[in-house]
Amino acid sequence: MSEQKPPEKPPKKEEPKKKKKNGEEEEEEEEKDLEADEELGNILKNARNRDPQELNQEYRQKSGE
Amino acid sequence: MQNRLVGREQEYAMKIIPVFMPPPFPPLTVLTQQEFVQSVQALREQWRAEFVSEIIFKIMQSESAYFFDARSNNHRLWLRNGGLTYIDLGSILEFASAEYEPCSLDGVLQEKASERILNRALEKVIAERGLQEFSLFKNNVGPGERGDIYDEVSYASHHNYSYQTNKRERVYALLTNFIPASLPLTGSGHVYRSHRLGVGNQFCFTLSQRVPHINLLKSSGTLRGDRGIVNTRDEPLMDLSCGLSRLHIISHDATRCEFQTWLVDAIMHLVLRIAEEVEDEKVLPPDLKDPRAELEAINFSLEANFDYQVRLAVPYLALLSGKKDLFEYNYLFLDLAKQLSPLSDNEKKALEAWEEILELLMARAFNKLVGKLDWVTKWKLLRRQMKREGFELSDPQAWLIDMEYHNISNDPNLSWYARLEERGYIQHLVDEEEIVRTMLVPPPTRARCRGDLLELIKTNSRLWYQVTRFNWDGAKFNNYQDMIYFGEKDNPFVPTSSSIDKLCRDLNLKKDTPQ
Repeated sequence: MSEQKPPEKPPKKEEPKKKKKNGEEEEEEEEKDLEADEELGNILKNARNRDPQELNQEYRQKSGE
Repeated sequence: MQNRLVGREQEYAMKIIPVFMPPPFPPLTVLTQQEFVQSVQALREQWRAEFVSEIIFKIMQSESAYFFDARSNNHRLWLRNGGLTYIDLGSILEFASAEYEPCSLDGVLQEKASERILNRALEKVIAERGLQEFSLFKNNVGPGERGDIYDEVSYASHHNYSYQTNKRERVYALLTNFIPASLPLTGSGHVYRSHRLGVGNQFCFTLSQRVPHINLLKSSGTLRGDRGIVNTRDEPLMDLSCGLSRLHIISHDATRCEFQTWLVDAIMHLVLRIAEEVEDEKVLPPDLKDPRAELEAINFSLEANFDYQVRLAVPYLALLSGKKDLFEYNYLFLDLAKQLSPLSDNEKKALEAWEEILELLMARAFNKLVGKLDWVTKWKLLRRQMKREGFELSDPQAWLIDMEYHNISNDPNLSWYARLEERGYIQHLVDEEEIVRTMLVPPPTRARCRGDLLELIKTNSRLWYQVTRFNWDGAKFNNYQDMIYFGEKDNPFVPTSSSIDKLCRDLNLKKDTPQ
């Protein structure tokens, strides 16, 4: 009746990549800079950005008017 | 692992945009302005209740549903994964998770599974009702009804933790210090308008949505004007014989980032262990001089780049001024938690994560916290948009980004969180397969017993009409004298129930064989 308890996954910890430079270890992480992201897009293309007349026309077509 | 049950309740805001909105009154009717406003408000209230009911009914028709409590007048629907959804205060959609263990990933899974269940229901309602948009927001503030988006109403995320009843006063005392101090780890961020005499309206980015609506130190209330840092409502949802109570925290923010969702519960659990296990009061962190004032000040501390010192109730031995750096004060709790013994593997991971976040905050390494903490993620997103689009915090576009971050839709065109997830910014602790499974399977806690009992009722349909009580802690039947406990009467932590076994024997019930 009750399913077996699944093994618990501990939370993943991101290990920083390390490389040697000038004899010292340096941490190197892949880091995305959100503020500088060019491809994130500027606005959400949700209903509020659409032309109301276009939306009404769509509705009329769907409802068979 | 120190035994504890944790659970969350979330109230959702809604946005509904119909394709065509019928007028609330017949055409050619002459109304006064007041009559018109009242009509629209009545229609809005009617729609809110109507659409919330529709969501619950759609969930009821899905495989996630288990038991609809028709006796209740708030549409209580128990789910297969141990959670509960219902209508609060007549028109607010509320979703409560099943009980889970702190420091495990079950809390994250429950939160994400609930979003999936709701999104599926929303899709059906949108299709059937022909709506432009029907969105749910997992946050804590929304515009009131005066036409000013910054004139906010607040709704809650309630975080629940079992704790030892005989340590109540120690728990309350410690949390009135910890909850304000830990705000940089728990807040979801907010575009906030404050009004200051002689200055006028000011806009700033604060750490928390909920803090401006917390006005007391302790309170048993949850409504406007009566919300405390620590809520003292005493409704254990466990038998008194187990010596446990339920801590009902209403001052935390809703969280969307998986990491923060996990971390908030983990650090609260560890601090509760400090309250329960550390006997020597002298080693506890010193009290804040005015926790309510500190909560408000810390909420604005990002403006000063966290260059902030908390004021202590008594001069700290090393600092005659009676002040301490905010993050060093947090370290006092972390250092005490490290001395708890024994510590499970998950608790050790929680301590490591807690320390890592404090280190990053102290170093002001905010880029490394994107995707982990909601306020940082939202703040960085806002800064990007403001820079690219050329608007200020006072612009409604900033407010809109704040809101749309919390839209639970997984459509990147509707939710900034979904957009950021698509771009790979959000740190995931759980995968899609686990989330989908959690839509149907409860955590290994007493939540399993509710499922067991409901399966029993399905298999023995005569029991359906005998249920007189069905709640988090147990059930009662008309034709059976004993209370059925989920877990054991004196031990709610186990996922088995001897009272269900006894019920089967006493009533000669069939198991696993559909009639």
